[in-house]
Amino acid sequence: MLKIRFKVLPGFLPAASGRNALFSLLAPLVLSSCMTARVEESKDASTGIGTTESVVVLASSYHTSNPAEDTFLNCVTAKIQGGKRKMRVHPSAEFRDALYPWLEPRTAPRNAEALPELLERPGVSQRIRDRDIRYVIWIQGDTERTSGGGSLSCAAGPGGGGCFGLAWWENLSSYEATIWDLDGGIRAGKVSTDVNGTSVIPAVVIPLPLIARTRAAACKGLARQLQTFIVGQAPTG
Amino acid sequence: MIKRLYITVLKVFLLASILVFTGCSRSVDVAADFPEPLLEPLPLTLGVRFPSDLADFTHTEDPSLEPEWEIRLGEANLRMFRAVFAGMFTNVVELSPESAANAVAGVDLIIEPRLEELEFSVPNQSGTDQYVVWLRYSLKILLPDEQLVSDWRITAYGQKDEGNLGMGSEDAMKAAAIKALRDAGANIAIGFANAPGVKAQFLSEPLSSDTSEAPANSTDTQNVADVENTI
Repeated sequence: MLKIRFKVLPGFLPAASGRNALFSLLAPLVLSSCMTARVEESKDASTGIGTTESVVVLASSYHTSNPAEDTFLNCVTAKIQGGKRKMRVHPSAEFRDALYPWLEPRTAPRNAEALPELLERPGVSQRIRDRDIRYVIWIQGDTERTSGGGSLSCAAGPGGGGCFGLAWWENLSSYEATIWDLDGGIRAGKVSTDVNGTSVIPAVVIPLPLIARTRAAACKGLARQLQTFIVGQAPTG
Repeated sequence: MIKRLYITVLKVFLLASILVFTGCSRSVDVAADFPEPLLEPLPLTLGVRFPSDLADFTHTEDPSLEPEWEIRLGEANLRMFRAVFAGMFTNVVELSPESAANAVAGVDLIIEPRLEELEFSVPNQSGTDQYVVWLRYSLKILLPDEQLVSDWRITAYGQKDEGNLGMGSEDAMKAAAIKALRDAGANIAIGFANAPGVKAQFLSEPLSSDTSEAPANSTDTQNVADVENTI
């Protein structure tokens, strides 16, 4: 089952807030600018999680893919522990240590087909049971600058200084999470997100950075979709 | 008066230069704990001998257009090997660099690890956001009477992104080195049974600490393999 969702996000978040006149003048520009986000979900098996069960969020192996940055993993880990559909998250470093050397980049199962072999290794299933871990979430992807341009120059002298010009760049944050169900020893599915956004720094004496935080938006979107994927719809009321 | 001012300016310039250049060198002391591997331990008593150059290993390099890096890996080497061997063998005896293993009763084999080479790259060199560390170890596997079974070479790799805004390069290099050490440990733990000569000498015959019972061809030079494992 494949679900695709597009969303237009409120995009430009000023790096520094203020009440100066320049910001007021540029406010319409801020409000009219945007990032675009695309979230996809592919479900291979039914999911659900008990109140005592946990998930582990791990970066994929750099031998087989492009592992997500630690900052992104930390962000997703924090986000899926909050909200109405919050989940318990087991510390990834402790889990890797407990199963060492079977989850190192060199040795980690390349795909879900190799998962039963891992679970059959001496002691592995027991350590997973001891920690009550139901799902492993492997995350890969990165944030790249796809284009940029403009010109911005600054100068300073005894009487003061200032900047003039306009610089811009476009970032694409593209991440994918693969969810393994350790109870069944199978792949439960995949969730992916792509967020595209343009950052601009206009400067007339004072530069005003308007940064499109695509990675933060991707983190939020992926975490929310992971919660929906595993826990299901949020309880109403 | 002008001469005195000139000398003062020169002194300030020299002092500033010294501060700038000493502030540019980067030093990383890799200290970390390593987990024991989750394995069925081999029913062998290992005598491990850590040479002093492994215990004191320090790599210094001055890449072009980069400040000098000093990476101290000695203590982390010992911790990694102690943890890995403790999980791999039922019994581990640490031998002093000078002592012979046959002085210690019950030792089935000796391993003498050496770190032959450390290489690294930083984002400025690779054009990525990654700090990368490569390690190359040589593990001499010997019988208790010091006869060489094989010189097993393994390589290990670790990488870490530089993080937000590229801050904390020392931390990123340290994390890459720790990942490389963990990779080395994983390689040794999983690959040992298939290391040159190991199966024939230690895993297919009834175990004995008496070297006279070793297979007759144990000194055959054909058994002395030198194989490099690559990623």
